[in-house]
Amino acid sequence: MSKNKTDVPHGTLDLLILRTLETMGTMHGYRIARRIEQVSENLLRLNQGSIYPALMRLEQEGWISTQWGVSETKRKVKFYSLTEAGVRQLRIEIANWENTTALVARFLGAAS
Amino acid sequence: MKLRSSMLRLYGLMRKRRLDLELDNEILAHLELAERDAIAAGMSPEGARHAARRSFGGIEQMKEEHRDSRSVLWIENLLKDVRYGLASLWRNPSFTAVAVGVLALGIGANTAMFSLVDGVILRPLPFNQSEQLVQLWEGAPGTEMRASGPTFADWSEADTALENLAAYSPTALNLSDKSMPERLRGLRVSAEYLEVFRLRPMLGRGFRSEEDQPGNDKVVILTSGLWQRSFGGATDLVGRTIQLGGEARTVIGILPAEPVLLVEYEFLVPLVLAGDARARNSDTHWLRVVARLKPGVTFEQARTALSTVMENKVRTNPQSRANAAISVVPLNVQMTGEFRPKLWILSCAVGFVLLIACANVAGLLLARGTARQKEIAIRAALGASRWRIVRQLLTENLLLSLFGGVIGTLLASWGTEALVHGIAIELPRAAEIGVDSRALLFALATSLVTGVFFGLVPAWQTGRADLRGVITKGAAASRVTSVFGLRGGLIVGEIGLALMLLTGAGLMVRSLWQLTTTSPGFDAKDTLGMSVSLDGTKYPDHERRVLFWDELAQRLESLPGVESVGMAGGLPMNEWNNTTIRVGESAGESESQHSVDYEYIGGSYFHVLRIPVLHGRAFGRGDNSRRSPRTAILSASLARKAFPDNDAVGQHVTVFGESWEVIGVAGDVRQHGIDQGVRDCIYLPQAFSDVGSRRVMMRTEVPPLTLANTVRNEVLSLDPNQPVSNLRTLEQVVRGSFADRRLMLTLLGLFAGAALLLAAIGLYGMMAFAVLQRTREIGIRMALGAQHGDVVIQIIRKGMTLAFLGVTLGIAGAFVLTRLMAHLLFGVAPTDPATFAGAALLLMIVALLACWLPARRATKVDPMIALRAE
Repeated sequence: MSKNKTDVPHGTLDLLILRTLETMGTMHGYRIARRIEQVSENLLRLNQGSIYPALMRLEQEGWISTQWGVSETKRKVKFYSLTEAGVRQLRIEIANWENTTALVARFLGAAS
Repeated sequence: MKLRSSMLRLYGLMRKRRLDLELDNEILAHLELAERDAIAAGMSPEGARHAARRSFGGIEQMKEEHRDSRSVLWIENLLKDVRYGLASLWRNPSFTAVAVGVLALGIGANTAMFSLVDGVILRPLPFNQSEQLVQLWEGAPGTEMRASGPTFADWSEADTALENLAAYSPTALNLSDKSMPERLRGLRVSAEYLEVFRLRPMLGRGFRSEEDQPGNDKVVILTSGLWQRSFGGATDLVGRTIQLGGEARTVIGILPAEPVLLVEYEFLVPLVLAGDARARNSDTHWLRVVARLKPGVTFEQARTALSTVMENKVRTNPQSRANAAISVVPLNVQMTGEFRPKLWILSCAVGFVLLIACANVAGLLLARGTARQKEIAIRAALGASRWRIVRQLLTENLLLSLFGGVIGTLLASWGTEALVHGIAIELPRAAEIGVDSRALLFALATSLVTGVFFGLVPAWQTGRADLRGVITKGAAASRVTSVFGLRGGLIVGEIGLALMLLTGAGLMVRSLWQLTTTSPGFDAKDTLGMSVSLDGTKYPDHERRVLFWDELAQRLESLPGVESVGMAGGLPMNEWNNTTIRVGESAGESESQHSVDYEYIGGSYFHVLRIPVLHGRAFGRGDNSRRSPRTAILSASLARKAFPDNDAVGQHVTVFGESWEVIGVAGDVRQHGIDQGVRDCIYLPQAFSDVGSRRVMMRTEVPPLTLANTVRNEVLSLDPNQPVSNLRTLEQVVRGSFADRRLMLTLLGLFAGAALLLAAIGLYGMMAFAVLQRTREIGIRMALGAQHGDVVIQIIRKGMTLAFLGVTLGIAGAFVLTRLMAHLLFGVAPTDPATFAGAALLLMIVALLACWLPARRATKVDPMIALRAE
């Protein structure tokens, strides 16, 4: 593990997963994890396993739904996709995130 | 309970297993894919496996986190729903109070009713293999008679079908061991009686087979109640002798507390058939018979076996028996038979009340849902899924119904008590009735089902909220029409159900009115009755007993306030005996047989009861002696049947093997109850009976009960050891004969009243809500010059349309349902137009009131305020 990798910022994994599903459509757990790593150009230190509890949480909130499918290795796996409520939630989280970053950026700008 | 909780645990376990397995598979698939990609990128298989593991992170740690998140969320959501629901109910205390109250009423009434039905009908009788117990009657179903001695003896030959067989007959004996003589009710039973029920005394032993033979029968078994009450529960009582019925009897056993058969009786003594003249006569039907079927023998097989025995007897000796028909009735049906249909009808009625309560709360929820649409739309906008919102609303509804259930159960435990002790005391098995764990389970199930039932539609409706519409136009404008339609449907249903209950209650009122106004054939007003029974040992010979009764009659007659005194074996509508009489030449062509009630009477019986002697004469002193010629008086209906062609007076009839001359014809009496129709009856002078026990009746010139003490003292002055029992007016006896109808009326009336009230509340609530919703529209119309009257009429028309629809449906429903209660009615048809019209009218008036109140409020709307309302 190289030192220039950062941890996933606290509470943003949900956002990353929802966003990934929005752009890529239905996919299984491994693809989601790989996609997040690829987009972050491997700058993110992601324990791939940690997406599964997150997926479970999102499913329980009703933001994503699952169906069974077959992986490239011919194994039965879950495929995840975004629900309507998930789309709305993503909008809210993006808005929240933008607000937060804008706010932080303003503080940083004021300080310099 | 235990089963339920382990089922839940099992389900939880299975769910966890399944989810764990799914996760394991997912991890495996993930690692495989990662490995494959790594190999494709040029790694060695070994290196690829390590790399896949590394980038996946700690597997066990992840699994733990996965488990946590799924279980915590599940519980957390539930807790959140409950907390949110409680808060939301708390914010609307008046809504919550009304809904909980309405539900408590519905669930409470149903739980109370369930306790009754469960105790009386559903639960098996508390005996070993009680399903094998039967009651046997002579005669086909519908014409059942008690068995005669010879018939009982014949039945005991059907031992292929019957395991045990016993006869019994109620009796009453004087217990004279104590300072105050006491009259006790008990049963004379044949030796196998306790064996039939597999009952064993808790102290001592049961009867031995030789103990129902003459000479061995001076034994007695006491109930624990009597043992405690009169003998202080002395354990050494078994083996001692007590003075019962004027003779010494050895106590051989004490029965455990309250076997359901013995609620009215306190002791068992052997029934001695051998040597009893009555037991040899096949025309005297006096024995009640119970039997235990052999294991595996059905009721029908038992009936066939018994009929075969009887048919053989009739074939070999045609003189012996009128016919060979027999009725086999399961004992639990026998004990509760006449109450079954009544309880089912009441259960239906109370179910209707619950349905109305549900409809009412559903209506309230719909209204509330409309008002809450903004709140829900916002929650939906914040990302709550539709299922999540519906679940939230359902949780709220379940909370409501559970609160209702808790309060309802409290009401039920109180109400059941009141029901059993107050009005339903005559129910068989009353002691077994109570709100127990089964009733609690029933209440819980009812609460849950009602919670889902009344809550699902409103929750779905509300959950479907159209976001943009609500948020832009405001809550009031959207969906009002469709909600109004649904609510309207509920109201129509409520009114329909209420009308059915009202009609049922109305029919009962009419029946009871008919019963109280139909003459029973005698006049019960100003009459006092009592039971006096002589001990056989104290008055051993017939002469002395006759002397006692003559003396008593004279003394009572000379009391101031007593007009006349009569005697009989039973009080009217209370006790009676059957026999078969023969008319015409014995075994000749012209012989006819008639099943009749018979009554040995003395004193001025007809005069006391004001039964008219239509023809011939009443018994005089000269008839009432064993040395006199045998004379009889027939009831008018019997005289017509027995002597259709000529005058009955002067003819002869054969009763108990003797010939009796008919000297008079008396008016018909509804001896079995006013609703039972006229029974054929033959009256014989009491001197020809054993006159051991008599019901003494007096016509009084003052209110009868004021004479109670004087009369009692008069008996004691004649014989200081002679107890008197059942001192009461005949009016009380007559009223008692339709006590169960009164109970039906009380309960049906209560339910119908509750239904009417609930339906009225529902209609009122909806109309008030509609007016509130349309405040703006009404304001505009009034500003444009609409008259108060127009507004009122328009609103009332809307409500009354619903009421009219409901009444129409209700009449149709009642038309079908009241047939089911035809057997409870008396003197009124189940489709009595007046009752239907009355119920409909009453309901329409109440509905009009429920519409008029909110409509009147609408006219008070100030246009200015109305227009600013939004």
